[in-house]
Amino acid sequence: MEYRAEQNRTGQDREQNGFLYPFTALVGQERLRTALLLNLVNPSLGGVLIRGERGTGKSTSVRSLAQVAPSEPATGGPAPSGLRVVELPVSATEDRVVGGMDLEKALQAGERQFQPGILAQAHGQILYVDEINLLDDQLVDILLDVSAMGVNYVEREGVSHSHPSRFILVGTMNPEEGELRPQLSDRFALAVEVKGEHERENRIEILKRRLAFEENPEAFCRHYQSEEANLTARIQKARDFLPRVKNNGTFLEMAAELSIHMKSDGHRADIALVKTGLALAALDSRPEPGIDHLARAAEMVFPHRLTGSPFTEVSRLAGALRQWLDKKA
Amino acid sequence: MFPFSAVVGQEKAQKALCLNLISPGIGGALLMGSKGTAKSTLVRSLARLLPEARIFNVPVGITEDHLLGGLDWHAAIKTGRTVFSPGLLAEAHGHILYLDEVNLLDERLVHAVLDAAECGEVRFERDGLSLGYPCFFSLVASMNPEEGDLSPHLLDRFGLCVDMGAVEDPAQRTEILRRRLPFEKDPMLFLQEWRKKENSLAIRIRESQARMSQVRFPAELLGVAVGLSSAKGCAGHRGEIALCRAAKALAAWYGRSGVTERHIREIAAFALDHRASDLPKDAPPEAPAVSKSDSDPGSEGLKGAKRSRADATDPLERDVAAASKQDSVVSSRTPGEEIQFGISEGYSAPETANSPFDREKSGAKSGRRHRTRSVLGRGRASGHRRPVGKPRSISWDATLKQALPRQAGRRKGNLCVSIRCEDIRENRRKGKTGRILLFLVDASGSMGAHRRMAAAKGCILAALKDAYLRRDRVALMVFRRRETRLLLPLAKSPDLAERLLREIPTGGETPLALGIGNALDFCRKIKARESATPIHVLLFSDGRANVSTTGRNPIEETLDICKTAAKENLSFTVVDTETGFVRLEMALKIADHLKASYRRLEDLRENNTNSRIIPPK
Repeated sequence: MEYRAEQNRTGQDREQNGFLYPFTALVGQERLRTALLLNLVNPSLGGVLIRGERGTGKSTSVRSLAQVAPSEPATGGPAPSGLRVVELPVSATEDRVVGGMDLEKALQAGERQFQPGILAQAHGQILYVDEINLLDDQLVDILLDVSAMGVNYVEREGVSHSHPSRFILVGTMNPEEGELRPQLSDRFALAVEVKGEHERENRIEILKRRLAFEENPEAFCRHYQSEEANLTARIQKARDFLPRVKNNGTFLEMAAELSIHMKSDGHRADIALVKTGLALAALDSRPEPGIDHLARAAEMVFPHRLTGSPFTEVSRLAGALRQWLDKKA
Repeated sequence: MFPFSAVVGQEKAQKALCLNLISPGIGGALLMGSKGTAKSTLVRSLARLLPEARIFNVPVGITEDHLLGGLDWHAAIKTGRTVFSPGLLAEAHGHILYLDEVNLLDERLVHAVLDAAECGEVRFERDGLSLGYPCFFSLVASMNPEEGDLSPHLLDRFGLCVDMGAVEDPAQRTEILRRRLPFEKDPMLFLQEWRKKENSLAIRIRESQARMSQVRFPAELLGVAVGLSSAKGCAGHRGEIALCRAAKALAAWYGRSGVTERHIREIAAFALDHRASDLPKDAPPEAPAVSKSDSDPGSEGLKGAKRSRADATDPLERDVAAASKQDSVVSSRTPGEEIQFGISEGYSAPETANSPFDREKSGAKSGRRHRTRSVLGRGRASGHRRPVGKPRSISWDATLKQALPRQAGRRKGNLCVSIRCEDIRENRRKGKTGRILLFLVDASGSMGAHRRMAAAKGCILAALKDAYLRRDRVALMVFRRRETRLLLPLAKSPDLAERLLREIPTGGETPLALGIGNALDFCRKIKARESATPIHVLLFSDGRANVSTTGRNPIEETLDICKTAAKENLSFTVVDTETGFVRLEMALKIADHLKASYRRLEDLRENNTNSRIIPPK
């Protein structure tokens, strides 16, 4: 008899006998959930960087995100149909990330052919990099290039090839283990800081749901089925509503003003601010985006962008934002 | 092999191992203890206890290929098909994986193992292969904390952790001998005697495994788990989740179908102690408790500074408040007093990129990361070569180029190309590795004069920013009053370092020899794990050693230890903090003995052309 531990597979984070933890069963972490949902409302928003202390359910939330993605195509976005989460493990080698020569074809048929890599699979999908700060430098460079151009140019192992590669980049990291290079963190439209829940009631609820899921994943997922469906419908509705949100001159002006107030370099922040504000308005079914949307967008757009980024503290962002809002009011 | 149940005095470790076998989902058991505490004896004896469980040992020098698996290139060149050749993780599926000396393993590999343990699956994207394989095992690790620490984020991911002290009870010590001697004399007979006990333990574990699926965790006890976890200040939720899982396994072990509060309390220390932080939740990290008693003359000043920090909500305001407070009182300091200094702005980092000798020769600029040959086969491919021994990462392009001109006379079978072993070429890789910077800071009373400490902090902060940009890892060590404290073990996080830096209190004597000696020990520990990583030590001091822990002349002792340090494979920079007209220039002497590059703090002001002075020899 072989020693098997199958009956006790309680440690599975990724899935439980084929069941993923439902997105709607997550407790707390409002801002993180909003940031993820906004990327489903507008898949060309530009991704999320999730920074947080250990054991706060960063990975769980990303992995369950695809379950609530609408299956209808998003207008103008890169997603052709329902989303998948394509994972880029930290241990991946360059040939698998960018693609390379198909060895079987070369040996059997004597042909040099391109074998697509993760960047090809991720086209139109969510590209998820867990512990992105531990990724090798050369893979980070590749990610930077491809996410900037939307195209993966491959010139290696005697193969030349190029293919489109646009994806929703979602990365998680624990800042205690090292920071991300500023060029890479700037690629993320949004960033959220995740902390463990300190409220006793919430902590108990998290624990309760986790144990219930481990004990009977099927029943647990069934319990959340209708909530998941409602959320999907809400995202779909926001997606349909997004083109009707008026991107008027005052809103753009306000966004530019806020960006200047925040002293953020470059225009990536401005664009992210506008897109996020619009998506937030779409989620609220509001045809006119307001200053409240802008303020909420700013909380996600600036944490990783303020000058001297690694040394800024979240409270400073909140202070600067409050200052601006007071000025406007 | 010594029987598991015959080990004396390590009941906690035995229990942790059993629970982790009953429910591997707990997330592994980490045994911590110094040499000779029966760590590996216990783990190895598991193989005899449960003959169906095999133990897979992860050796310290293991490569990523060996651990994760890779392309079976023999099969590839023979049959033309790409087949996955499993690594240790795939083989350990359904068994026990043992990380001996986990603190000496490459962190990336420990991450990979912990990921696999948590997910029960490995996503493999290497060597042109893309697949996922199941990987569910009971994880066991051991380490000797004297040989180096395990970073907190890795520690946090182990479900249970047991600190194995040496057995100090004389009766137990005698019992150990009473069992050890007959075992060595006649192991077979000894095993025979213990067989019954071993068998009943094995049966109990198997029965508990079977009972696990019926064990219920009553909802009203969740609050107990959460309460215990918050009381210990555990970050994140892993602590209480592991605690609940462990309590379920414990209930199964006791033959119960429901968890009781007693189960939770019994196992709490196993799941929470290694995740505990001394800091209360929601509070900014306090300055490490350097002052030992309230009667300490300086502690009032320290408390005052703390209070003013806590009052101001904005961190920037906070620092300004603290700094101005200190400025106003600095002139009335007496040497024994203790105070925190703010950070002066406008310093540039001392150059540390190359060893000072290199710079003298080449005038090379800072900002270059060291290039080392990649140990783990990572890094950018730069050319290829004929492999020595087993090839690590095959360059198929180069291999085909080798094989194609030699096709005449080779039998190809049904393949288009025949590749033989001699054609195989592997990628030559160059990886960039960051350095390690150890900031060794003198926080004695003499550093308090003339705002030296504030200036030194400003300079260190500039260096930290610089280190961050270059992806170097930093450690921060402070010495004063006959002791050295490692405030920040290796980290890449400048935020944390900066926060700690702000809170260094100053005051007391200067145990310089002790500081340098402890820094040396720290560096040696790191070198044991990562011999290729360059380490640079930056000493911030005025060099005025005035206390010895061994009773020798403090200055002689310091210069002696400097000579020893100079022989190590390390590089040093001494930043002299001495100011004023009367200078003893002790730091210069120390720099000389350390063969260190020498800077004066005042020269490191930004935009000062003198900041590149080459140290006099």
